[in-house]
Amino acid sequence: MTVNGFSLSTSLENPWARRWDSLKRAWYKFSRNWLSVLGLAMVVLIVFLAVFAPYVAPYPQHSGKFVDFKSSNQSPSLQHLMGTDTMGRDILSRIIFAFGNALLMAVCVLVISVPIGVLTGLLAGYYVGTWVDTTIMRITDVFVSIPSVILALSIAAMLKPTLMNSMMAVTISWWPWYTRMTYGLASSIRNEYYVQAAELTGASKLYILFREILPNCSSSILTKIALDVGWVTLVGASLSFVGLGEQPPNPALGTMISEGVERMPDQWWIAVFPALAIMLIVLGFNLFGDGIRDMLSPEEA
Amino acid sequence: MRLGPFVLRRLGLSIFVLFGLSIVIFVIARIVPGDPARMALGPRAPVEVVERLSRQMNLDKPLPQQYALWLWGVAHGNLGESLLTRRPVAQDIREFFPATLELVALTALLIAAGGISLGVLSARYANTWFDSLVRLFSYLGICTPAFAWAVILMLLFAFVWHVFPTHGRLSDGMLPPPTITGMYTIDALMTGQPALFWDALKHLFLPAIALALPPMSQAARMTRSSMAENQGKDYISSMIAYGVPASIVTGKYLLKPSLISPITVMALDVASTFGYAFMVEQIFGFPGLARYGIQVMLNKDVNAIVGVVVMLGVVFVTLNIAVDILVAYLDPRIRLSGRSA
Repeated sequence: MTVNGFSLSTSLENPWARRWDSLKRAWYKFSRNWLSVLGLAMVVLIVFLAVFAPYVAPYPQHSGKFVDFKSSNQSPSLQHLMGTDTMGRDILSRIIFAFGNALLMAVCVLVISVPIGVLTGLLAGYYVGTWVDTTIMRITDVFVSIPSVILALSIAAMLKPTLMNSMMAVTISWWPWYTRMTYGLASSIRNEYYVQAAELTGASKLYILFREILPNCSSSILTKIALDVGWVTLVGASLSFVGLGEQPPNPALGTMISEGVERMPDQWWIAVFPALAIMLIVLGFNLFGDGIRDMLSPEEA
Repeated sequence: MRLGPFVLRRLGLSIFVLFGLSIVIFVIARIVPGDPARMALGPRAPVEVVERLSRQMNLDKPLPQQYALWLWGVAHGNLGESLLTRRPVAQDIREFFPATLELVALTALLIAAGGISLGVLSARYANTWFDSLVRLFSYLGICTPAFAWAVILMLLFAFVWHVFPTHGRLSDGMLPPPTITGMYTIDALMTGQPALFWDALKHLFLPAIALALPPMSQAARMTRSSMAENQGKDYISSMIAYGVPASIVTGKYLLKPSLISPITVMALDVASTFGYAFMVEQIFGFPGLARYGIQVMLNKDVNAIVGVVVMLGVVFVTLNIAVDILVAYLDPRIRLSGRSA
């Protein structure tokens, strides 16, 4: 028996069919907005290019130290779709490799800052009004008392300029935002009846934190993660733009733009295509994140 | 109105936060590997000279004592000496900060004017071609970082359409006005030099647009959605039913509650503008605090980095207090909450 394409009878018996059905329902909610689908396509494209960079880039050897002054500063052509830079390197290939670095940075920053932020936020939210809340949230206040770009820039400035250190700098300025969000959610959820019921039945604190409160924060957290991949990339590009991130000759979008600015306007392609690449990442993950939000939000109709 | 205790509480918290921020940044500046004195003087400086500078910067003392000495200096308006410019950091900041303040002020003006009016208009003409156009524009705006806008604007205006200058604060041959506030536009007006004012304003325009576009787009979207949300409320319907003119309903009763969340977000965005100004000032060769910040950062000038960060922290915290007061004024639920409790 099927209703609207969702099979009813099988879903009750077969767990796999049930999972397949919920997947189909999720996709239905996600794809109602064509912009989310476009975002997903952009994200898939970026991830694909980043992972298979050595195989898809037209000139893989141009990603590192490579000099060919004979073909430097060439405008876009069939050989070099986005032209070449001052060293004669193919810009398209360098952008494809830079995607890898950008995503690596976003993943590392989020893998560290999300658990720290969520854990501290859960604790502060559960023990709201106690010294745990005060301590955690006042520390958070200190870190958000200055825009994260500035904090990341100044921390990165004092360390050696490497991709690793710029990741660390961004992480230090990133986790408090997750603390704040989780805190806001958890401190209101902890007063719900189901949490109080769990407390009454003698459930352990760990159980309440991770099985009762956390799942009800997860949709907001997941949405923020999806959006943040774009924003971390942006901050990373800002760092490398001023020379505090990945160092040349390794490809980084920010470095490529700052090199290109000096060659404006005659060799406009050196700066413009990396700038478009950043737009692609931020736009893609923004649209994708909006889709995730639509997918995870409870049905309103 | 019980604003007094509210402001006092916020003020107390801010002072605590600023202490925290200065400790964090001070400690990071001191514990990173590498001797700041050695870095300032270069690898070939003789050992005695490095040691003398170390002693001068109190680097030979334990960390808490260093912080206490630094704090003592700050209380006397002394942020230490910049290792790059060889001048007191406070003097450098005084010189470069007005330029950035001028730029950020114009940016804030553009964000507020553009964001709110676009948002209101697209809520008024919801689901028309105008609304779609604004939506498309705001997606583009949000997703393009300020420094990418700077590159695009530079390309357009410097080399295609020569309307706005793309470098520095004043055209060649123009003398800066006598320093009163340090902000060229205001100083020019105060000394009665309209031509100079116009020139300074034109130089501010492109960097300000580049900085304003992303937050402006965000503000437009937020204003639209909160207008749309409030439009469906009962009190609006009843006002329309009573025959209150549409302009008064929209301009007064709908706009005021709808502006609360956009204003909070805009204030955060204006503060972040100080951060993105780091990149934009660099591109436009605009000699402001942010550009100075980049230079001291690249040269590991720790005294100046700490000074710039704490300075921006003060600005950010002040801005936040101002917004809290503004929101309390706009939202009676917050303003009056102290009374019932």
